[in-house]
Amino acid sequence: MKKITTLYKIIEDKTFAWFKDNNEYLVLENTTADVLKKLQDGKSVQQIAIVLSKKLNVPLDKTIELVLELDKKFFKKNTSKNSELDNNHKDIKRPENFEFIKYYKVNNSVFKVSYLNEKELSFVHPKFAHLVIEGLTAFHNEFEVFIDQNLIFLYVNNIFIGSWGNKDIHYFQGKFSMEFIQKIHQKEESEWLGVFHASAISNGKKAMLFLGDSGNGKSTSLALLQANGFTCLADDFVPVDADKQEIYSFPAAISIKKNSLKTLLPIYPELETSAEYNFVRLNKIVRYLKPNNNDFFAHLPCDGLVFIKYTKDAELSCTEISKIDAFKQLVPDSWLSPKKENAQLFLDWFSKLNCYQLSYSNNEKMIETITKLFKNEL
Amino acid sequence: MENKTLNNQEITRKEAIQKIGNYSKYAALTALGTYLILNPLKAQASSPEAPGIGF
Repeated sequence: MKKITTLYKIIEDKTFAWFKDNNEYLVLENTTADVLKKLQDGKSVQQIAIVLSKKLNVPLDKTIELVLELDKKFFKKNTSKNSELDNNHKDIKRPENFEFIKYYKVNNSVFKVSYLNEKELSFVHPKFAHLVIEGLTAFHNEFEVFIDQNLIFLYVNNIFIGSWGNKDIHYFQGKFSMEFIQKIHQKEESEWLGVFHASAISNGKKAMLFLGDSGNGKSTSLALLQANGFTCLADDFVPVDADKQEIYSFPAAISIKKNSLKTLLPIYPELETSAEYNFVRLNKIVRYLKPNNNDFFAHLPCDGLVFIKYTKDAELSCTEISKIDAFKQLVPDSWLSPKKENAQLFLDWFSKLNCYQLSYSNNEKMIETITKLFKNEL
Repeated sequence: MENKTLNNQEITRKEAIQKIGNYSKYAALTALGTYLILNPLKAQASSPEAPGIGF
């Protein structure tokens, strides 16, 4: 018996496997998965290879070679954990005075966030500026953000959460958002299935995730759809809970890139002036659009994944894609809970999702198609 | 000389089918050794292009 925790689930004609040790997912042939299971059960390489040789009608030496290779690859790994940088900065002297203190109100909770300087402010505040309430001193949760010796530190309610180097700002921002969502919904990290790099829209009854590489119109589509009767549940950071596997709203604003302004200004004239942040030192032009969702408690079941691709002058096409294609695109861009129960829930949840590829250039047609998708009319 | 070499490489239809047969057998084996490994992100992250890159 091999003491390695794994999960297996057949989806379409392949087996999707999960290895606990490194929170790794595999897509393999069902027969290969059977070989792995037998190896785990303690069957000998010889025994497995004989069965395989008969089944495939190939010489035994060839199947022995394969089984040995699989055994080596998946069960004889160098298990020495890479010595993760254990940031031993718990004794760092926390600043006493912060230049910026902001109070954000989400539902009925007030978050006090202290930023040491403008730089720290710039990494977080623009996304949450629409939640600011002035003149308050009572709060439920306290976050502190400061840079010291080339590391950015995050404390939540006086507890050290982590520190990140300047190349890992997106991980700092991700952790900040994760702490934020945990406090909003009173759920620990282990109670979340995953966080997806997507846009989430809803029609009030169900939600869909929009995925795709940067520059393919996720946020622009979200802004357009929220002006056409849909609700923006989340942009960029989409949490899904473990309990019911529902998409949770996240109160961050929608980031709007400069080249989308022409399309969006007629609908959102406030973008003209409102959210261009003057972070002079960063020389960064980013505008933020407030989500139209006011209920940050909202959570809805996910009806499907839509991989969107904006291509200039392309005719609109929306086709169902294989789960394997969808999985390939989804997993490397997501944080997925390393807990076994959650990994099982994730595989079960994913196997039931409808997955589409949407290519478009015309926004009206895109909105029409999404409307039909929500109504199951495609 | 060149022609001769080419001629030597010609095989009959029957031989070709046999060869393909053998090859496809191993193709099934190759398929079993072909898999996708996917690693989720190690931690929650925002888009890399979110405001501020580095400090």
